[in-house]
Amino acid sequence: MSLFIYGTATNTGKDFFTRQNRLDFFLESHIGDVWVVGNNEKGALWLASKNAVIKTKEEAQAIVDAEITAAQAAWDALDFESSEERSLANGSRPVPTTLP
Amino acid sequence: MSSYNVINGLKVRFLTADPPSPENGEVWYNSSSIRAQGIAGTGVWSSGGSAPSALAGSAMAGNNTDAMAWGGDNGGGTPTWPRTSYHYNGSSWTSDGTIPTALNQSGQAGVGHTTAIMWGGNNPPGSAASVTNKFNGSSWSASGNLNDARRYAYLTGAGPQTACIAIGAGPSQATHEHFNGSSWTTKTDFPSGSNTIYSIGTQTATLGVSGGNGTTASWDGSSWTGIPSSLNSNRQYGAAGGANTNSAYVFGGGSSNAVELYNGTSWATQPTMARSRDSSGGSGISSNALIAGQSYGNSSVEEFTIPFGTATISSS
Repeated sequence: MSLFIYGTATNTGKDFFTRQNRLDFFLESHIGDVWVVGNNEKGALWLASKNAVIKTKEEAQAIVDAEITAAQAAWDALDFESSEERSLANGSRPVPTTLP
Repeated sequence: MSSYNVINGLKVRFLTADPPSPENGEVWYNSSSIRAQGIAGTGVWSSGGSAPSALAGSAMAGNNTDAMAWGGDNGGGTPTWPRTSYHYNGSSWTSDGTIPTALNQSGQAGVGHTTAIMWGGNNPPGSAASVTNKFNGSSWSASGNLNDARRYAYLTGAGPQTACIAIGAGPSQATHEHFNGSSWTTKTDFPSGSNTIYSIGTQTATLGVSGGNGTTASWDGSSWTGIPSSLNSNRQYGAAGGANTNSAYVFGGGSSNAVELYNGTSWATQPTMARSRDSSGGSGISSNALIAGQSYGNSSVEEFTIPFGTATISSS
């Protein structure tokens, strides 16, 4: 059995995930509204309560990869004289992420 | 047998009732029993109200129930940089004031939104600013200039509006100044120049943590002393906050969602944020009120809280 469940859901802000949620199950948020939660009853119920669209790990990773690529392109297009200036002004260039 | 005041250097306060907001570790007598405030659970990050934008380079002051955020690079160049400042009340953001010029990446301090203060920043069309602006609850106004201009000063700064601290700025600046509410005074440089030097504490007890090269040092009001580096030496463009130099947090930076706590002696990992955050404009003036703000392409906000509780200390 997989250790995690993957899904997409839009973060609606305050208390979208609560202190108790974080204590109850593993939870990570990624670019592209991708969520990774622990594969247990409380994690599954939380995803369901957010009307999340369940994804396979490969599908979720593909969403993240595409979003990272787009974010890198947008970062590269920022109007600065050098990569160093871009970093100083906007933080680090987005880097690929491997989902757990 | 030793006594409390010998061990702690303080006497137990005699009160008629429990104080309204006791600090962690505070002990008092409330006319009937000895009481103490302590940690009653694990500190955890949860989601806060989403920010009005998803920009890097913004600044933020205050804590997770009363914060102010401003600035940010929208990629449109200096004429279009946002000037509206936003107040966070613990659940949502509302516009509150307009910063005087479209400065970006400014330094940040203040204990709440009505006492936010900004300095330096990226000055159109691309130079280091030396101006200081203070918010009074309704509008921003200019105050005394920095002695050293600071271009990429965001993510740096600490303290209240009338006694704040500016250390460093990108690129690789180490200069250090103190503000008294109207003017800045130059102090001894931080031991190493770095693009982001997080600051926690007061003008007489400051923790400085380089996000770029890991240099970490404490300031006692007159000199810097090196202390152990954080566990992750590369947390450039992260954020920091905390009550004092014995309860100081650094979080995020790069592609990290990691959080670390310095307790005055050593660093320890803490529960992670749900999302990695870079250039997030984080802030927090007490240990249980940290806030991690918007970052590049990400408007989500996270809040760190530690449950505290009051208990009676038995003498038996």
